[in-house]
Amino acid sequence: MVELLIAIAVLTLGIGAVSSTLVTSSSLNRSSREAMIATSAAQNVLETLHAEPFEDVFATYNSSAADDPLGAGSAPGPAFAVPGLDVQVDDPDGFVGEVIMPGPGDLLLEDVGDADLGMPRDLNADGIVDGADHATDYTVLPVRIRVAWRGAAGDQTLEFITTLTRRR
Amino acid sequence: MSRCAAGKRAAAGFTLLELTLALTLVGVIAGSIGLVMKTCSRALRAGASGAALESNLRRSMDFVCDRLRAASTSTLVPLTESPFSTTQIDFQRAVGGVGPSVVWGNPERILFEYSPGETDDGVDNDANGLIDEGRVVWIQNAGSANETRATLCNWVREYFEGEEDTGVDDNGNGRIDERGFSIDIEGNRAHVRLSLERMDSDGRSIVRTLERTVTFRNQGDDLP
Amino acid sequence: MKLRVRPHRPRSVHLEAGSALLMAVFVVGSLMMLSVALLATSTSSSREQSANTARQRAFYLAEAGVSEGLTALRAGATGNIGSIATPAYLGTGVFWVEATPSGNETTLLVSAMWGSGRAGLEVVVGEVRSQPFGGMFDAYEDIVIGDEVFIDAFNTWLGPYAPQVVNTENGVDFAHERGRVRSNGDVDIGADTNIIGKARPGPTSSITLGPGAYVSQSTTPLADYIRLIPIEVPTLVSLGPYSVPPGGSRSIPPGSYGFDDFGIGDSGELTIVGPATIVVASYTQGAGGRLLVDATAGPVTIYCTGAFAYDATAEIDTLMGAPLDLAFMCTTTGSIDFAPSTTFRGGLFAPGADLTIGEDSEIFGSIVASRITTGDRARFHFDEHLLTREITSPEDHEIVSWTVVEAAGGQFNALRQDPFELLGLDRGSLPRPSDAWDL
Repeated sequence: MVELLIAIAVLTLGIGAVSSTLVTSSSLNRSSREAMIATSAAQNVLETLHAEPFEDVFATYNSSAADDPLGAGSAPGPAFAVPGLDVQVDDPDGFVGEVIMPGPGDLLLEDVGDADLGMPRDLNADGIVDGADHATDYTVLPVRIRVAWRGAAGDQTLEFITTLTRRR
Repeated sequence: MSRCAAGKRAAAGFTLLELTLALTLVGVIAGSIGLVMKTCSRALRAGASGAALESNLRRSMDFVCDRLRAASTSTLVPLTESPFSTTQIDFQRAVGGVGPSVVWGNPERILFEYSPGETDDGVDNDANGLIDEGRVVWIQNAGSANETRATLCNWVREYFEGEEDTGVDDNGNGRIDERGFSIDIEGNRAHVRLSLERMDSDGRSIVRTLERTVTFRNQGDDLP
Repeated sequence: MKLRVRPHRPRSVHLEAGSALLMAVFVVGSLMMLSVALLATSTSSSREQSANTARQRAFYLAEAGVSEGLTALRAGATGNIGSIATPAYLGTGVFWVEATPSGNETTLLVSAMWGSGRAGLEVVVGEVRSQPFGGMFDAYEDIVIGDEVFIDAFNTWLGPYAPQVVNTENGVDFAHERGRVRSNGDVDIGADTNIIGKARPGPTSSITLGPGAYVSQSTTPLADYIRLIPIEVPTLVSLGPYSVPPGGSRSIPPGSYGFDDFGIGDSGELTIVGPATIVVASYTQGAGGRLLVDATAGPVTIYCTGAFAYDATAEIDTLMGAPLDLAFMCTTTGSIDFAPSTTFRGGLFAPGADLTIGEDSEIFGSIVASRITTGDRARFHFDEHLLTREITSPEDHEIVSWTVVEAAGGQFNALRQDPFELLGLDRGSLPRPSDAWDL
């Protein structure tokens, strides 16, 4: 009887451990898939930025609709959805993805402090770093693509950073 | 009474209740073990299949996009513009620059082929549970004496996930009847779509899909 | 003596002793093995995904390196950005650029590291060589093409236009298929107009085709705006005004000349022998006035800094056997008008002007203006020989070619540690990209 009880206890512990492993494995698989979706989405946005005429990138992806190249409200703006990823609970705009450029959203500023974006820096090749808006005369544009989602392993964030300039 | 007789009395069988209880307990435990083993085994196979499919999908897509990125619209054949797409594309990648000119590499081709044993007939010819599935193949120097081929991935669906051969945009993505592997050109970028599908050991379909955009980084000799 | 009798245990109890626990341990062991395999598969997949993400992040850091190198070249620097010992810090990763100049080109070898990811790019950057005449029409604003207009291409190097008309498309005969029309703005094409070539509006603009209009090639919007090529007028001392009297004839030999007002009087004839560069304050070609160009030894370029007037009955021609290599480079921002039934030959580069071409006119050459408007039934033939014209801007650079290569990290490429650990770098002391030029 004692032996049987011990055997049952061992089995129970073992099954519990296996179940826990199944859950962990499933969670890992899901996280892996989410990361693949997030990476792909960020890449797609970056490639689209490369395809845009360089002079239009800021106006297309900033938070102001007034300067959209094809007419007010026609540009996608800074936020983008990613099918397959859920928004974080405290996300301010309800979108998983965001295009972030130096400045408060509708202005392009040189004197922003952001070491990961290489800021502050001269954006319009005039040799100085000032506090003016360079939305129409920038010659180099640091960009951050952020994807933040609520995943199987909790809240996750993925960021891609690059710098754009006119290629030709 | 002798002790031997007492021992015999103590060892004499189990009551029906004890037996029933024991058998029930053993049955439940054995059943649980069996269920867990089956679940674990199924999860392993499904997880491994899904993970393998995803890994295959990602690697194939990365390969195609990396190759196309170094090409130019001037080297593409055909130049199929959205909303229509192609399942085969010929191109050349830049391998360097000499003076003001691009040096183009060997001609390359990426295309969808029906899997060996499969044909475009709406029937599961190879009895693997999939209909008209194919593979994505990469060819260098197609048609020449030094042609080389490599299969990038198998299990490619005939049509993109959510799409059928109806002549309309079934999945609402702005494309019409795009295939399981398809490329369409929009300006100086390509949209690449890939859907893989296979059946797991329980006969359930596992589908993994990826869509990517890639911008051509080179400009050909043909001015825009 | 007491007899001690051991209790008699049934055989079955002896046989059952310990087997339940053994079975339990065996079963749990099997389950553990299965679950370890499952976990290993999932972990491997997760690790592969992480490695892939790191690789992609490194790739876009390398692209940032290309942008930085290009920006540095345009600012007059060498294009070198940091080094493997002191790379530039960006996006929690690092990159550096090695620039190797060669003639008019510079090769940038970019290496980037992010986490376990490594990326390398090789980009050849050249001085901008602009072709001012790349097609029939280039406009920095809108193009409006009338009804029943025809546009194709030919090559004056092969001789006159008519013998080159050997092809047919959409029921019309044409010479070559490069009658390209480009605009940074909208393109409006009239009814029954045939364009044998491309007709492309600006990246954010559109094209309108009238009933029966036909364009043989692409009509999709341009990916990038047409960039204004500045006209650098040569500095030449003016020799005063120059004119060919009505009915008279004069000749200008090869060389460079500056004049004030320049004119060919009615029925006058001027011969210019190339290579010749002429700067004029205004250009007038009167009724029946003829300009003959001999470009056998080199091209003829006339820079006009003021008004440009060309009479409907004026003529421009090439001497027998020579291609018509003639270009007018006009800096005027006013209007240039070709009256109806005008025949004009040559390239006309007037990026600041509003240009109007009257109905029933015929142009052999190329037109670049701010805005272009054509009348009905006009015919245009792009002269492909004008493609040989190039303007080089040493101050500006553009990417000639872009290729993926192995990162120049040497032994560090195979090691997948974080670059800060691997290279012994202090993240806080690394320069920003803009501070790493020529470091």
